[in-house]
Amino acid sequence: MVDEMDLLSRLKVAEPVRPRAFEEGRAVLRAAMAIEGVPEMKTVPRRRARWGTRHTAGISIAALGAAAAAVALVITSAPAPGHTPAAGGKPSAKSASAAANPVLAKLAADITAQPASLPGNATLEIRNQSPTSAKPGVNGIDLYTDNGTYYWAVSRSDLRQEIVSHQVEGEFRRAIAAALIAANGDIATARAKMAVANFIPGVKVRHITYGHPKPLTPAQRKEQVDNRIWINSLDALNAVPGNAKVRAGVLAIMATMPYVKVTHTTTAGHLTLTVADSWPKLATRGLVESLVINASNGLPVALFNRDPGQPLNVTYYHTSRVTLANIEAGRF
Amino acid sequence: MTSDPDDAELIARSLDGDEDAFVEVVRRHEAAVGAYLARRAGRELAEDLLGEVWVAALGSRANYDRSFPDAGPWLFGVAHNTLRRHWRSRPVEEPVADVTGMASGWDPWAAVDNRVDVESVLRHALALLRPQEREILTMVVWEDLTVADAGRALGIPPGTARRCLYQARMALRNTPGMAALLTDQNMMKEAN
Repeated sequence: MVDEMDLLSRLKVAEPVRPRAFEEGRAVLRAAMAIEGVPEMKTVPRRRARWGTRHTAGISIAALGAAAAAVALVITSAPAPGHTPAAGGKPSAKSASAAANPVLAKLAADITAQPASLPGNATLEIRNQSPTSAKPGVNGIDLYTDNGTYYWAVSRSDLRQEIVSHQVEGEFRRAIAAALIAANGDIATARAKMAVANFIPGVKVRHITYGHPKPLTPAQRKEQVDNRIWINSLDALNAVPGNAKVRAGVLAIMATMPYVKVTHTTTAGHLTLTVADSWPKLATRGLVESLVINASNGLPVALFNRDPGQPLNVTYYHTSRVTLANIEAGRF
Repeated sequence: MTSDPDDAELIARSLDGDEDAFVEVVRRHEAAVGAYLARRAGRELAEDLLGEVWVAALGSRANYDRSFPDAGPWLFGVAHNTLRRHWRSRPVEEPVADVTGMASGWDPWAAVDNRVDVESVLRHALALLRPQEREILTMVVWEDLTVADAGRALGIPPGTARRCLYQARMALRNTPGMAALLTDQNMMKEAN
């Protein structure tokens, strides 16, 4: 007697993974053991483009090592739909030895004076490609609780199920805590904590050269740390955008990054700032990632990124404040 | 003569600093996990994601429940989450994740007249299932996991996994076209 399980088993066959891919997978594992020493404790959708193993067919240890160095990003030159540089909007950059970026530093100070938090205890985030519509797209729906827990689902109904069954996708407590330290004025401590916010607490970070063609130079190591600070700061900003202190802290940290560039822009008719962490010697690699924030309150508006040779990927953020209880009850 | 250490023991050793121990765990399960990824995302992406799966597993091995000697279901769960992350973060120019395209692109079988119809109905039926039910069902049928192990891979209790499997089977059975398909298949089997 044939049943539905028998029929389904006919779809089991798939094109087999090649032996070389298994070797490469293990090489990536060993390289990760060596380069970071400590794997990341969470997963972040926005991080992929930065360390990009996926886009490198046949990645080798050396290639991964190169990727480790290729961490700087440059601001895009091609405007995205709905997003344009403002008249006279020149990038305000600072050197490593200069003071904090004045535009970001001022915005951080202004935000600090705003109410600390909005109603609700979580942020619902839709990431899509429209600057004006909050309709869920191919990236589904994100939900960040104010204590740093992250859920994701493909639809609203699935999100409720994910939360009820506590299918956590990530944790951002440490990045949020680092941002709050910055908001209280201790930028040096905040930077140090933000740089390791994505690692497992209590496990020592190594900068070992096992499997790496040669040790990282001090400049490369600095880039690597700067890259982590940038990414983890983005995470903190996205996790609790409703908390003004977190926003202020993130911007205060970004203001101290040695190659941060800020451009005055407009997005969907609103004044925005486009912030990029741009290491000059890597500008030619073709990596692009820039964050667009509201010019008056620092709320995240969009993220632009592009891998080398790829079209510009534009993601707009549409956030709203919610309560977990309402979502669990299906009221959202 | 000593027996080979089980996966739980190797994971414990890796937590004590023995990197080779974790690589050995990977060696034991890489074929199964690779097949799991290939069935759901195609070979090319499966090969691309393998390294990410191992790195993610390395990162979460401290939480591995060492009362389970076999790490297979746990690694399927890591692979499942890696795929979810991929679909969650894919650029817009990539095709939308679509289970109707799973396991496509390569056909080792001789042409069978009714196969296209069977596949079409099945893939449509799979696409209509809730994600968790679909994953439990395909882990049991394609990865040969017990329903309890499939639940373990997805982090849900055995009872819930059994309920998901039951609901998935009922939904599959009630999909338009499935009843006729099963009748045809059983008639063909009897005729042969």
